[in-house]
Amino acid sequence: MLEITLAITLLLFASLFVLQTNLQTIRPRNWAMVQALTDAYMTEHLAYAEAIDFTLLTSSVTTADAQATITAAAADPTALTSPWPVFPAQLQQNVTVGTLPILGNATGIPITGILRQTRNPSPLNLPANPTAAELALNPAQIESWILESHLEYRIGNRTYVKSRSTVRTR
Amino acid sequence: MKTSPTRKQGFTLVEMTVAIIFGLVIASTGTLLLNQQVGIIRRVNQQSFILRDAPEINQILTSILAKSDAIRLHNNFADALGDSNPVTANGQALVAAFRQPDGTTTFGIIDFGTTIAGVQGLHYYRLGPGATPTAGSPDWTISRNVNAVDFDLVNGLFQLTLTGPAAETITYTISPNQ
Repeated sequence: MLEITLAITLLLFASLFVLQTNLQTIRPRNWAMVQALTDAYMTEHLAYAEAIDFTLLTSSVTTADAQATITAAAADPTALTSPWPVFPAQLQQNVTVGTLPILGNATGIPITGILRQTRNPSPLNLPANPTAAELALNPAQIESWILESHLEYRIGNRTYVKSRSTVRTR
Repeated sequence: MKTSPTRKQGFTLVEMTVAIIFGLVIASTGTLLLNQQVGIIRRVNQQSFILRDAPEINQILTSILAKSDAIRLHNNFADALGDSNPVTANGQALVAAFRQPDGTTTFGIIDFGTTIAGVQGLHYYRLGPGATPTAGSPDWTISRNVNAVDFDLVNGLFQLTLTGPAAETITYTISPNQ
């Protein structure tokens, strides 16, 4: 009887240890998968921020201007506007970042998030009709913007934000 | 002369029942542990597409596209080879052009398809002077651990959507600056 009790106790401890080790393996990998998906998703907005034509970039000022890039441009690509309106205006979209695998399920779990985009001017950007004093501070009439894309997503009960910024100058 | 009764050797029925029940408990717990371990290994293998295979494919395509001078998308290998029906969305084949120092141009076709040997995956075919590819006979298999591939041009940028064996999907956009 003593031997059997000892065997069951040892087996119980071994099971708990194995379970804990397995969880320690799986949890960081789940975390890394979501990081891989969100990093990959942000490559689109980083690449577009680097590539967008400057005139198109500055075409949106308000949120409504930027919204047109989703609604009108879907049917007519020439109606594209900038997805980065001027801060504090922002374009907000619900997006699907990717799909995670589920054991024994053929469809996977879609990972969704909220994408917010805005742009901030350099303090030395000149207004439409600059004064002599303003021109003296920026004689080359350089125009710079910081383009920001922020992806908000949830893992468990926590909310995370991943950001990408690009400086564009002309 | 009187002799004392000899004690019978062996176990009683109750003892045997208790021993068998405990034996079954230990065996079933061991089986559960084994099943759990197998499940964990399957899950770890399933996670490897997003953590290992997809980044590798992205890295290889980024390197190829960084060296190319132009790209074109097609629905399938035949269209890519025949330079017909170019598309901007949902492509399965990509043609990359490489200008050579002597002024000639060589091409590479990246195609998601099945080889003659029945290997489904993302394959690379050389196309250029002295190299005419045949469908199903690639020069190189980039990855065979991928279930579907989508090539798109979005806002003038090349976008790659990979679907893994467990229906997981991941999308990369390759920047022209890379």
